[in-house]
Amino acid sequence: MSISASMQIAVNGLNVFRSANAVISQNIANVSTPGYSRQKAIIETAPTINLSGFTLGSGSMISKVERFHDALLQQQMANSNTTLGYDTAKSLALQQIEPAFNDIGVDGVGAALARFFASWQDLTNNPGGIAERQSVLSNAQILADDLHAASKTLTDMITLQNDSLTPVIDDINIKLKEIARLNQQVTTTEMISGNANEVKDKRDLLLLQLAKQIGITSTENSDGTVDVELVGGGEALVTGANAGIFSLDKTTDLNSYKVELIPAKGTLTSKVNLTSTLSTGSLGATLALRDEIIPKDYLAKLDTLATTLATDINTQHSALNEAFDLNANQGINFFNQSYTKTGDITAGSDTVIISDVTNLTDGMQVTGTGIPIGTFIGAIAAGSFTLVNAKGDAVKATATVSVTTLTFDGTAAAFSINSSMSTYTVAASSQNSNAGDNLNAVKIAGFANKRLMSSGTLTYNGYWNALISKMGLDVNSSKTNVAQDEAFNNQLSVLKDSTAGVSLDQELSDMMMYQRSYQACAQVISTATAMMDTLLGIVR
Amino acid sequence: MRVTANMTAELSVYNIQQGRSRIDKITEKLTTYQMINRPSDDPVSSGTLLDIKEKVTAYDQFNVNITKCKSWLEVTTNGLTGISDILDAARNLVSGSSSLSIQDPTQRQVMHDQLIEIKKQLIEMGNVQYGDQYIFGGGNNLVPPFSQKSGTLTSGISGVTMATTDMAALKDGMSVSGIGIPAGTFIKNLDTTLGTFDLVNSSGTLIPATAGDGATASTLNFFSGDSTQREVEITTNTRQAFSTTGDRLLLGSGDSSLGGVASDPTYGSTNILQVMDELLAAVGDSDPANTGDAVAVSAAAKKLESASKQVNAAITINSSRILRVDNMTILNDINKSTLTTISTSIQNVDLAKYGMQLNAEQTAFQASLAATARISSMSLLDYL
Repeated sequence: MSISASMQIAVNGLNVFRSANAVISQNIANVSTPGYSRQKAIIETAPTINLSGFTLGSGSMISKVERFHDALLQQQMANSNTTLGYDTAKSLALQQIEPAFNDIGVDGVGAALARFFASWQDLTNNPGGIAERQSVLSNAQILADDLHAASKTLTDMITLQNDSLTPVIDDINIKLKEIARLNQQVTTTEMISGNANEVKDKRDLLLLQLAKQIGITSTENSDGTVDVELVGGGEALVTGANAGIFSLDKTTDLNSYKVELIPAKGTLTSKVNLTSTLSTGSLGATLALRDEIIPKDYLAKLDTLATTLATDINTQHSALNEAFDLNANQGINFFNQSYTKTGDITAGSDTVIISDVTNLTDGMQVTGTGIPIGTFIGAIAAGSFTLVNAKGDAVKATATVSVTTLTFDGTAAAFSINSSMSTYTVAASSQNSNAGDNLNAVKIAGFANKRLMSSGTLTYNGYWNALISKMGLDVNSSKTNVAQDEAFNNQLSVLKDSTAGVSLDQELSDMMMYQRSYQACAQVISTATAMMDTLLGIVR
Repeated sequence: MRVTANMTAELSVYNIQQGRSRIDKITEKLTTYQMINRPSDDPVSSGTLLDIKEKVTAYDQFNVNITKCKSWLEVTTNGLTGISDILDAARNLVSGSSSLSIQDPTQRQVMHDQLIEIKKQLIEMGNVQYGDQYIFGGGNNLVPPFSQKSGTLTSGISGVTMATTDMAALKDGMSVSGIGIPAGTFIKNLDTTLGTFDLVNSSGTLIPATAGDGATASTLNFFSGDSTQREVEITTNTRQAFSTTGDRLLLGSGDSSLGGVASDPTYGSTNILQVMDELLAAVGDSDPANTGDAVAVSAAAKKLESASKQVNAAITINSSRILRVDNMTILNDINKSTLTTISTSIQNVDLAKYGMQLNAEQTAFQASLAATARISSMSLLDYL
């Protein structure tokens, strides 16, 4: 082997160790970069050469820059992020509505109910007393106000969840587009034998962030691209360099946007409605809160309490020949009554066909299957009425149902005192012309202890307390779930860091090692140079 | 296992947050002095607390009801005692007279005048008020229950005539009694223009008078109240009647509504106002045509005995009601105290226990902060 061959081998070594140190520099510079996976230069012996019949080595080379990445751990983290995203979104929303049900901290609906019936008790002591009658009306108004406030908190949260869909969908679309673009970059880079490790890191980080919003599965292809699919239905979100597009249908129901997807490589005709199937991630939580949890678990129960209370009080307060007011007139409805009738609705139409319009008035709130929340009667005609929202804009039914049950003013939001009620029309007496009789007031006051809710198992306050307990249980369990998810997520993150994280100590010691190797190679060059000088000196 | 700086930092931050969260929870308890500040703190106990709160409020209301009811009962006691004293005065007056004094016109007039006054006092006591409500009016207690007027009866005829000016407060269905009017009689077909009305029984059937010549004025006693005994709730699902009705007290019947039904309690069956009318008729006056009837006086005196017993029965029942509500107040207070104790045991914070826990958590937190600072600063760089 010639001196120049030794020198060449040493120069190779210098390049290798300089490159290895460059990789270490990259690692150290990105020690705090979110999602960065450490890299390592894999040094191998360079191919041997045959020289004068002898097989000689030609030094070392960097065969590749390896990226430390665990695909299985990545998917586990994605799944964990999805669960965390769902539980966090649900927990935050429930904690925001909990104060409206916190009768422990401040007096709420429960206390208002107790005061309402207490005022009827006071009336039994002096049935002709104007002050006692006014107290009944005042406490009824306070009860109505508290029911309205609780109802508004829930409906506002439903609206908030609905409105939050727009920025979430936009953000998801941006991420999908970016993942597709990074797929393209990976393909291009690796095609020219480049190192796409940093691009892959960015892509993995995006996938983890996306997983928090929706449940996804990702598969890495042999060409380095990643295909992303929706958990459950398997709809393609990203295929190679093509991204799916989420959109919101805001035309059918302004209070309940529909979430739709054009899958990757799909067209408008392949658009799918995912509203009822998306159940994971923060997006799934938003839809569950808007469509199921708040309307069915809380709002419906609040409405049931309000309408049952109003109906029961009205029945006794207007009982024929059993309830008389101070002017010896037959008692009337104390609260505005809710009514239940049947009618026909057609999807996309704002007209309801109904044969019985008795007792219905413009402005009454309408609820029922296929009727969006926050819908009211617009105008009544013979055999029909129109649907409008609070602003008076036309509202279209979202389903076609014949002979569907429609409830009018059957909500806590519509709970109100009959406008004809006054101190004189409070019906405390059970006898005509005997204003001193208090039997009707005694009966109504006794409702406080009667089990009139939940098929005769709970009193009004018992029902409200059970709702509060359920709310408390849901919030408590959601907080526990979030704590557990965070702990698990943290553990996975630690595991990932253990494999893929940059250890400064390790990098520094590797750097020193490469530095010494570099120095050794430089020394070889110096020695070879000296040998060359000696040889040249002989020739001169 | 490889340990990187990021791992150390993440774990440290996570554990510091956990420590801070524990400290915050304890601090909240110490500052609010409540174990449970929201339903999610302890959903099961929250339900219990709310249930207790509702029951305590109910017991407070029951005691308010009892206080107002007791005031009514005490005013009733005063009224009943007054009526009893008046009846005693009447009995003393009658028992102090002799057959000789009945023969003396002057003494007859004196007794007559005294008995007139006694009956007036009876009616005044019967119209005693509590605020703007008449104690003995039953369900119709916003107008004076008792009144007496003059009218003309004709034996065998159900029609009664009286001055139209005396008819202002009369209504169909009011109870009417007096000498010559059978017990359980009511007004019907009242005509304030002609000054007439008919006598009917509780079924609405016409009843003829049993005395009267159609010309001589008779004393008519009217009762505008009814038999309704007002009730209030004194504890859960327990009501207490608190009104003593004038029909039971002074008319000897609990059936003073046209078509009404007599119900418990009954104090007796003596129409005290009618007994006074009988006594007045028996005593006579200074008019030589109205000489006294010693036998009738003696018979009326016996009825006065029954009347006194009747009023005493009302006093006894009223007293028992006062006793019952007093006892119920004590029971309500005991129940309320028990519930409040349970609520306090759930809700009140053990300051000593949580104070010590806070100290321990603070110490642990400070140690974790110090350890984090020390470990984070360790690096190979310092030794190169």
